[in-house]
Amino acid sequence: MKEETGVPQEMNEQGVATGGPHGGGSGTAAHGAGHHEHQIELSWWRHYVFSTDHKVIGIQYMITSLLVALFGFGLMVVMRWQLSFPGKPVPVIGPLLTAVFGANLAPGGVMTPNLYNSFGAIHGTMMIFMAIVPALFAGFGNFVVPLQLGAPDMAFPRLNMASFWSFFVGVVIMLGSFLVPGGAAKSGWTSYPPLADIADTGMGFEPILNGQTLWLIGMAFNITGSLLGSINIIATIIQLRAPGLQWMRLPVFVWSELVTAFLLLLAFPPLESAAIMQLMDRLFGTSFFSPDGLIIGGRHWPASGGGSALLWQHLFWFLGHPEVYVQILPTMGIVGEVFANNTRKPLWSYKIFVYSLLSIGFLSMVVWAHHMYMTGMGQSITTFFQIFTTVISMPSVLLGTVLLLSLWGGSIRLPTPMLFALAWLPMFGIGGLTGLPLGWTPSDMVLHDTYYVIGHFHYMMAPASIMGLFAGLYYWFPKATGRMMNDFWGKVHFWMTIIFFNGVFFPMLIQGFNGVHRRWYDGGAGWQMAQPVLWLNQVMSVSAWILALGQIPFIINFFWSIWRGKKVTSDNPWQATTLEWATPTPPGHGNFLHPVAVYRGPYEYSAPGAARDFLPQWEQEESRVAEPKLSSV
Amino acid sequence: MELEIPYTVTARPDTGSYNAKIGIWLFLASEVMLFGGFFSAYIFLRMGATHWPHHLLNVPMGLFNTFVLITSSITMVMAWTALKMRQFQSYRRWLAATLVCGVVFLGIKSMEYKDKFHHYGVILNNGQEITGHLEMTPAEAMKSSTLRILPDAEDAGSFGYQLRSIFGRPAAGEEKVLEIPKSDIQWWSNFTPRYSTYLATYFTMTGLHGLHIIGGLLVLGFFWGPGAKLYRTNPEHLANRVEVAGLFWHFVDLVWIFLFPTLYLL
Amino acid sequence: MSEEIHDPRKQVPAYVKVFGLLLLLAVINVAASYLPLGGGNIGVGLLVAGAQAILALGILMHFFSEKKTVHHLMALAIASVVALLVIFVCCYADQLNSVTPVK
Repeated sequence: MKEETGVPQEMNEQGVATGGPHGGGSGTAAHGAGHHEHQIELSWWRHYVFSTDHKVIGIQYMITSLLVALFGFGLMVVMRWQLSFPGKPVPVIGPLLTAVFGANLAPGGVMTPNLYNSFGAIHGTMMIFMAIVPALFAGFGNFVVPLQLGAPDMAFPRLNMASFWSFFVGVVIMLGSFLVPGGAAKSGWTSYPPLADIADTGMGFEPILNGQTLWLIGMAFNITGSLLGSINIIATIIQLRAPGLQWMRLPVFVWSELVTAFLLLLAFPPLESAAIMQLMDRLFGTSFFSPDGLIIGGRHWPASGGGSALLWQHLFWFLGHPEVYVQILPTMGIVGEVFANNTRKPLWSYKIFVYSLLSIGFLSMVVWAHHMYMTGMGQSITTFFQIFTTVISMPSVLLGTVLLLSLWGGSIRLPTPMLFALAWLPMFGIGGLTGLPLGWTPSDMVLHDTYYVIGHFHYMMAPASIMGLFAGLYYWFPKATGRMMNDFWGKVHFWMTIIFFNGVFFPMLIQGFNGVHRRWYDGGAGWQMAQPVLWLNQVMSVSAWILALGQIPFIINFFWSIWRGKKVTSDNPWQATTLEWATPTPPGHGNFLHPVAVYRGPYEYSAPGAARDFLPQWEQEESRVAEPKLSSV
Repeated sequence: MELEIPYTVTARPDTGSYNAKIGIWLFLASEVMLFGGFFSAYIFLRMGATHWPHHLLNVPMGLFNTFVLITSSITMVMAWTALKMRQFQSYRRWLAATLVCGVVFLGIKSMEYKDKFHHYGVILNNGQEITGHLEMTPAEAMKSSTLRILPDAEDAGSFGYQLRSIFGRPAAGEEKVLEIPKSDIQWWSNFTPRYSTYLATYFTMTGLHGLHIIGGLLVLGFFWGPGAKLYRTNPEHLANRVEVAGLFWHFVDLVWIFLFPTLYLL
Repeated sequence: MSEEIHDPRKQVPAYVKVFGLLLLLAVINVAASYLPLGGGNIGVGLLVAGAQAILALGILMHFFSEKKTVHHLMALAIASVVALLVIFVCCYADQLNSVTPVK
């Protein structure tokens, strides 16, 4: 291209950044031509569906997982009806439930216990494994990480496509499991045996096409996709950093993705092994997880040899706990990016942030059994896990502190992404602090399996993770589409979301203290003792329904902005410093028009003596142009 | 202008590796954890088991298979060396040898599986376990009210006996065919995964390992056949690919090195 | 990278030695399993297998001549798997029902 345009190399390197009319303009033309040729080569299918471009794959991940999140949220909305008005037919969609799930599972639009259990299990599984993690880790990870590294693509583009499609097949299997005889898995998102070993077997169930077996197969696909994706992210970060992008110059989002990818890489395979063993139990009659001598339905269950149900719990939580950090760490990175950008100052301590991320990564591998205090673990091992559970709260608090102190003395702008990022802090705080009583056995004995637990982990996974998710969506939307999302409707969406999220989850903490059990579907004995707090069920349900309505502004805003939103006037509309803003908008195949190099750390905002309040990583000398122009579109 | 993905063939100076090598090591790290999950399950189940059989599997066959896999590892690394030296014919010969070793391994493994499926165990009402071979067809055994079974020899666990049993059933010693009425039997079955926790572990772990072998054979077969065309355009790239495939192959061999003692010997 | 500087053929004698050692260790492992060592059998078996693993990993997989990135990755994986196995053993060993009840 240099030969074609005749622009000198120095101009070229600066072309994107400074947007000198000549350099930028000719770059655009040449790029446009190249892009056009490329489109001719690739069919529509290869370009938008079976694409190997990391940006397309990132968007595919994001759209798929947002749809899954909407579906999982819908399941919960229906469940909340049952909890508020037990045994009453579900309004509006009741006939639909009967039509889809049959008169056995939803007679006359009423949720049966089996349907409730299916909804609960699939809500958990889908939200965690197929919505939040793919959106945050794979969606943003695919789209943003190579851009922030100055890389033309992921290290293994075809592997990237394979991981998306593996994930997608997993989603389809999981959704399809609703339609097999007997409905989807009912053993909770944790699939604890021996229940999960025997559920969905016997009369009226197919040998393979039954809920629990399909759950296992769907998870195996999903796990495979996650593993391939995490290999790709790590290899990309290790190998494809632009010249000058040393480790301590990486944006915090890249760091958080790196730690997350390692957690997935090392913690997921034991769950895959456990899933294989449970499949063996279900298909070949082995007894890895069912102990000898079970009496089921008055009949001796023909298990051979002694298995161990605890073994599953250990293998499951060996993944399950790191998985919590897999969901929250990327949002920490996103919030860090948005904070630095909107406070117009460097993060309060980049180093503490990075080292805290790393220590969370290490520690999260040795805390898993705090989910299992009630399983009869001995005192020494319980003490071990209590100590590490307490220790891991320290880097978490450090991270929160770094972000909080980053606000100090900043000239804070409040666009929609910053609002979501700001709200992330208290949500993360509540989620984290409510976890402490569960990390210590004496209080866990009381709170175990109550709504308090549900409230606690949802604060981490729903308000906190989703605040981070929306912050990232609003923040990177202009890079992906070339248009801004509407700020007013973004703010409406924000206030609806934050208020009613708390309306859903805060009462759970109160109910939990009063001993309301997390799994009862129509009350049960616990409700008799918890009469004074039962009215909160209606509060939560109504909040959930309004929360659903509150997402409508977002959905409309999202699609409207893709085609009709305000066009960005610059490649760097937020005046940010990290490399993704050095690309044309939206970036073409190969991302950068010219090889980029990095000259400084990621958050050089408001440097003393500089003409502008930000110094991008890719500018060798400070540019004199206040706002870089658009280099393509 | 299309920017190319860097370091697909040459090594990145500061990490000392090309992309695929980092990728395969990461994959192997996840594989370590996958088999780690199975080994931890093995430990957990074995510690909890009241009874754990010793030398139930045919050790000579397992040892021979170990030899086969070790040999295949060496031929694999020789294939890569030949490619690095740009000796294409030699590369293909060594790789062919590796493929043959892999197929032999699978063949022996399937013989072992078949042996197990013809081996029966009976658990009497008093809890006593008798293992041996049926002296009737399985179909007859299902219908008949008594089981005719030839129990295993006293020294069935010995190396010599197992070695002889590969080449046909060794001459009967003291033992006589037992006729056990089904009313005395609590449970009987051939040695399938559901027979005992030990066999469940054995079949699951070796089965998964076998799948890895099959996967490795497919990849190596590709580089022996159609994939080898890359040699004409970019021999170094082919050498890298073969090195990466070889790393996977060595790892599968390495897993077997641990599977063999844990399942056959201990 | 070392193997690009060095002649790959120079490694061949090392491969042959490793080949012999691996075969020998396999035989030793089988022989040792017939010795009446009680619980010691497990220790010997795993020790021999570990030696074989180090040989295969270090020489055949060129782990010894890799740079530190690969070493760090594998150190992480091995640390995780050791943590997994050790903590599992500890979890099994320390259960409430395995403690003799206090009268």
